[in-house]
Amino acid sequence: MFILKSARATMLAAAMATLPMSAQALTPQEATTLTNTIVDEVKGYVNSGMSLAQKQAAFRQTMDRYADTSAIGRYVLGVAWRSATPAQQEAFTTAFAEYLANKYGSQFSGYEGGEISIGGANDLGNRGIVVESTVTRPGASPLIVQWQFSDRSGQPLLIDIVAEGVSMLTTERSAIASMLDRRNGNLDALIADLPTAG
Amino acid sequence: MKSALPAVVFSALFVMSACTGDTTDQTALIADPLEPANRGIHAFNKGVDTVVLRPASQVYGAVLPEPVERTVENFIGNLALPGDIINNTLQGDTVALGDNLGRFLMNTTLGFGGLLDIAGEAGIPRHPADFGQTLAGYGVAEGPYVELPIFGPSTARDATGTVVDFVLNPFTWSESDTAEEVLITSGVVDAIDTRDDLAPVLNSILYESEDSYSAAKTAYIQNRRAFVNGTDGADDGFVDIYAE
Repeated sequence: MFILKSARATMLAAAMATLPMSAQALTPQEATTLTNTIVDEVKGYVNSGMSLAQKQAAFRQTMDRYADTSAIGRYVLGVAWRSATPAQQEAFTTAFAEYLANKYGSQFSGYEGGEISIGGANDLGNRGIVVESTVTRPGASPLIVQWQFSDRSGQPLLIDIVAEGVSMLTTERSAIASMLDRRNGNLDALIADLPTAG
Repeated sequence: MKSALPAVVFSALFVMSACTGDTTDQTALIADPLEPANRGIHAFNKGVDTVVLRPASQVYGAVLPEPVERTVENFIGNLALPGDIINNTLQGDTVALGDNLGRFLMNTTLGFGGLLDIAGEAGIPRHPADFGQTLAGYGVAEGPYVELPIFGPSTARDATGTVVDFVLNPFTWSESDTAEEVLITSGVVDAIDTRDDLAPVLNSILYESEDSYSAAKTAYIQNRRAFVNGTDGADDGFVDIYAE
């Protein structure tokens, strides 16, 4: 049993390792399709009767599936990531994913009844593909939302969402830096507080 | 509106005189040499939001039916057009100038003084413009971050722009008491309407972030730069996260 399992894991790992080599680079069309998939999934629970906690949990699953939360966490923590131990890095990645899901998952109530139209996509080379979209809500001005995807991890994944020029990456990099500062640079304290912060 | 002017002028002048040198720090989004003073003003602004603005916007959003809210927004948007038009002219943006002039003429006459957005239905978009943006076009540097009382997050350049826009607005100089009252009321209603519009984002920044001062600054600067530089094709904000 054990041997079988590990053999399968090895084969899977081998297959995964060759994937980025053989796979074609991410195209604007694929990025647009991915945006549609994510939007449909999120819409499914935003306009549902689920409780806030259920919406946050569902959003966490969407992000785990479609976003490179570990690369986002690494970028957001910046210098502190490089001086962290592997155990701290792993704990931070988990705590940060939870923080993101809770923070952004709690804002859905403001978008009930909203509609989104997905426009064109631009290839930014190494920075990936950016898909343009417009969110309209009753009684509010339309918002321009941009979705940045990259396949540099080996898989095409979401790495940033920019609403009216406000980037989630930039915003969280500054928020996390400020939180770390307030804990006198104590990363373990930040990791402990993250899931309930923000 | 008028009573807030001296405070704005004072802050703008203070900022301009205090920070002549460009002290941009490479890692920070924007230089913030006035941080202690800014944080004090932020605490005051947050208090005003908690006690007045947020409750008022909640009532406004709950009480006004959507068509009425739309009408109010149309009217306020129309009042802002002369200011937009002046800045379109100063920026030499003829497309925006044409659209905004057309909007103002159509909506003021056919749209009953701006209550209806006839031009918008005809496909003529509004192009908001302000003097902070005009200054940026003339090559004036952004300057340090500043949080203004009541007006909120700004920069040295944008604070100056706010004062100049107020002075340039033809309605400011109207002799009629009614015009003055309309201007003041529309300013207050505009603040309440905007607060209601942006409720999910503003509540998250002000009440759900550990450091609401820093959250407001980060969001404002990014949003403002996207507006000043134009959102179309502005891909400067995107980074290569796998490069680090």
